Amino acid sequence: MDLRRVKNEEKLVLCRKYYHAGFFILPFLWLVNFVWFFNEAFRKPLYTEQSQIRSYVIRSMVGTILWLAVIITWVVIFQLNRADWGITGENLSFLIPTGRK
Amino acid sequence: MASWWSSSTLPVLLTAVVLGLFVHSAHGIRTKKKIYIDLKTQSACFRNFNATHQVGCASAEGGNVGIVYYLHTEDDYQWVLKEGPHAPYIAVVNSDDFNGMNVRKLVGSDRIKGIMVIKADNSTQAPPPFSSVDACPNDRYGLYSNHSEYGDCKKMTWNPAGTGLHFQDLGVPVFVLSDLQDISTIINKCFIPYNQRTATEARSYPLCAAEMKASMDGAVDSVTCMRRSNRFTLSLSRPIKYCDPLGDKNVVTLLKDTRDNETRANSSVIVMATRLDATSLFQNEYRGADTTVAGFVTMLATAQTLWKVKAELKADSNAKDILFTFFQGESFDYIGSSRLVYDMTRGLFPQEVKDRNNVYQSPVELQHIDQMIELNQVALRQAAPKLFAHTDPVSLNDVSPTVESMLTTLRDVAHAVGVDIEESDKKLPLPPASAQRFLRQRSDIPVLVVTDHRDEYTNSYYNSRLDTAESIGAADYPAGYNASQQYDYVTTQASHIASLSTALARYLYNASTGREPSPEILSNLTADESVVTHLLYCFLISPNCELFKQSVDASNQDSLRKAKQPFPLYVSVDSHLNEVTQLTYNLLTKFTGERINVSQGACVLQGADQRFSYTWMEGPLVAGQTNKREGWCVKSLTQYTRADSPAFEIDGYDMLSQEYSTWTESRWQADAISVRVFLMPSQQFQVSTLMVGVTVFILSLCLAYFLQSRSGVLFTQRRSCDSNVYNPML
Repeated sequence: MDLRRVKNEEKLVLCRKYYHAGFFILPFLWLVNFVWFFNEAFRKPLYTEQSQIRSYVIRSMVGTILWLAVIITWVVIFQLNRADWGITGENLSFLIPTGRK
Repeated sequence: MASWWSSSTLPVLLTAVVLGLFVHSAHGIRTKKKIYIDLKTQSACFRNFNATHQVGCASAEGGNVGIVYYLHTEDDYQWVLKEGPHAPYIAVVNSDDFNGMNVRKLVGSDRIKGIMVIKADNSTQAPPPFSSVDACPNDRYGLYSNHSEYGDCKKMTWNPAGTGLHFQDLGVPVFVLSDLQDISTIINKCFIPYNQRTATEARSYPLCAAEMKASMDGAVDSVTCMRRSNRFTLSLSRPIKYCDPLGDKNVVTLLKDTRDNETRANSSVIVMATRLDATSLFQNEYRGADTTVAGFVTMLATAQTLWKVKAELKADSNAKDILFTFFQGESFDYIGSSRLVYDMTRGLFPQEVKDRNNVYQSPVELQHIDQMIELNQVALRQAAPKLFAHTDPVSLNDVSPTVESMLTTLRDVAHAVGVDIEESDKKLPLPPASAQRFLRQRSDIPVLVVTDHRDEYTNSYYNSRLDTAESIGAADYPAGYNASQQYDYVTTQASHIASLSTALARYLYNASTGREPSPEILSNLTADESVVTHLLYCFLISPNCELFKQSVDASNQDSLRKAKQPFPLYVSVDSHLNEVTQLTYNLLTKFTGERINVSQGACVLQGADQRFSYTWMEGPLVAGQTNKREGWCVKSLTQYTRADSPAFEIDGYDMLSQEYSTWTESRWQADAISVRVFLMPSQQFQVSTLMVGVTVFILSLCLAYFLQSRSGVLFTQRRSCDSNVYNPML
C-alpha cells in the first residue's frame, strides 16, 4: 500500500491496528509499523493525527527492541546450553547438528 | 532495432555464456587436480558407541589439516610433539610403531590432527603384538562380570597384547595406507621433498599438508544417538539417523528334524558353537585368521564330516540331537550368543511359531542342553602342538562328573587322530567365550571351550588387522604357486584343522549315541583335508574361489569376482547381511543338506512344513564346460537366527544394566571418508594473497563506478531513435 495515497485519518487507523495486533505475540508487526510509519511520524510536515501516529511508532519501536533483546538472550542461552540440557535441548531443536554433543 | 536484438545478439550471447561455463568448469576441475592429490585409502578408523561412551575416530566436519611428518625415530616424536614450528601435524607412523603407547602420546597432543599408518608389507619379520581390543575382552558382559575372584581377569589376563585403542575416543582421524601408490605419494612426493627437516633446522614453506576426513554423524553414546535417530520430527525430508545398532544373523543347524509337537527331553541337545566375527581398528582391514576363521572353518568341516553319518544318528531315537551354532557380533559384548539365549528362554529358538497350522522345528530351550563344546582360537597351537579344553570353575562342583567324562572322551578320540587336547588349569575361569552367556542364564551346563592357549592367548593379534593367513601359516605356499595351485595346496595348518574336525566329529558321535562308532562309521568320520584347505583359502586369501562359486547363486557371483580381499569379518550394522554370514549359511547348507531335484524357481520354502530351508546354489561346473554350472537346490535344517541385541528391543530396558550389548555404529555421509595432500604456503603468503584479492576487487568496483558515472564523457553515444527500447548498456 502506498501511504502517499492514503488519507491521514486512515493512516492513523492503520498504524493503531498494527500496534494493537503486535500485542498478540507478533513483534514483527511492530517492526513493520515502525519502519513503515517512520516517515509519517517524524519527517512529514505537521498534521493533526501525527502526534498519535508518532506515539504508536515509538511504542512499536520500544516493543520491537524489547522483543529483540528477549530473542537474542534466548538464542544465546539456548545455543550455549543445548548440549547440556540433554533431552530437553533435543526436544527444543528442529535440527540436531551431526557429529557433536 | 528490436528485431536486430533478438535475432542476432541473443544467440551470440547465449553461446558465449555456454562456452564460458564450459571453459570455466573444465578449468575448475583442472585447478583442483593441480592442487590436490587424492589418496585411495578408505581404511579409516570410525566411530562406535556403547551405552556410556563414544569410541573410535572422527575428524572435524570438513576434515583435519596438518603438515605431514613421517615418524622414524624417537626424535621425530619429540619434533612433532614439542619442537617443530609448523604444528598442527599429521603423523605418519610405521605399522610396527603403531602401538597403544605411541598412539596415546600422539592423540593426547593438540599438535597432532591425524595419524596415518603405513603398512610395511615387505618386512619378513612378524610384526610386534597388537590387539585393538582390551586386555580382558568382553569382561563386563561375560559370566564373571564383577566376580570377586574371576572378574576383570584377576586370575589371567587373556589378551596381554590388548591396547584398548578400539574402545577409546581417539578424537582424530586415523587411516591405514595399504596401497603402495598412496605410501609413495606420502613419503616420496610429499614428506621427503618438502617436509623432512635437515640436521639443524625445519624446512621452510611451502610445506606438504594433508587433509584427513572421517566425519561422523553420531555423537556422545548409544543412548543419545539412538534417541536422536528415533525422535519424531516434522520434516519433509527423511528423518536424520545418527547411528544404528550393531547386529547381523547367527547361523544354526540341528541334526534331527524334530517337529514342534514333539517335546524334547531335558539334556537331549549337544551344542557345538563358535563365532563368526572379528574386529579391528580400521574399516576394510578385518582379518581375524586365528581370532575366528580357523574356528569356524573347523566347525564347518566338522559339520560336513558328522553329517556323513546323519542317517545312523537320525535312526537312533536315543541319540542326542546336535546343534551347530555360528555366532555373530561376539566381539561386541556377545551380541549373537546373548540374543540366542534370550530367544531360547522365550521358546523362539530356532524358529518362531508364527502360524499354528504349520509345522516348525521343535524349540530348543536351555534345559534341553546336554553339554556345550565351543571352539575358540584354534590355529596357533604351540608346544607339541597342543590344544586346551577350558572349564568353568564356578559351575564345576555341580557338573564335575560330566565334564570329566567329556574331557576324557575328547582327549581319547583326539589322541587317536593325532590331536593333542589337554585339560586346562581348572582353577582358571573360562576365557572370553560365547558359552559364558549360556552359563549366565543356566549355570549347570557342562561346558568345554577348546582353544590353542592354556594361559594367555598365543595369538598376539587378537582382533586386529595383523591376524592374517600368514600369521597362522595358512598361506605357506611353495614359491611360484599360482592361485589355483594355492587353492589346492594342503598346508600344515589345514591338515591340523582337518584332524581337529575329525576328532570333534567323532567326539560328537560318541556324545550323541553314547557308544563308540563301528569301524565302518569311523572311516566315514574323517574330515576332508581338501575341503579345509579350500575353506581356508576362500575365507583368508581370496573369495574368488571355486568353493564359494559353487556355493552361492548366480546373483552373488559378481561380488565374488570383484572381491579384491577376503570378506570383512566385522559384524557391522544390522541392515544388511554380512557376506561371511551368507557364505557360512550356504556352506553349512551344502555340507548338511540334501540335494533335491527341482528347478531354481521351485527351490523355495512352500507348504505347511516350515522346518526346512531351500537354498539354490550354482554347484560344480557341468563336465566338459567352462562356465555352465549344474545348479543345485539343497534342502536342509540350516537357519538364520537373529543376532541383534535385545537391548534395543526390550521396552524400558536399562541401558546401563550390562545385561545386553549396547553397541552401535555411527553413520557417515558417502563422501565423509577421504584423504588428500596438497602444498601449503606460509600463513603470510596466504594472508597477502587474500589481501591482494580483496584490494583488486575493491579497486575494480571503484573503477566500474567511475566508468559508469563518466560514461558520457568516455564513450561517444548515439542516442537510439526508438527511445522506448530498453538498452541495458545505458
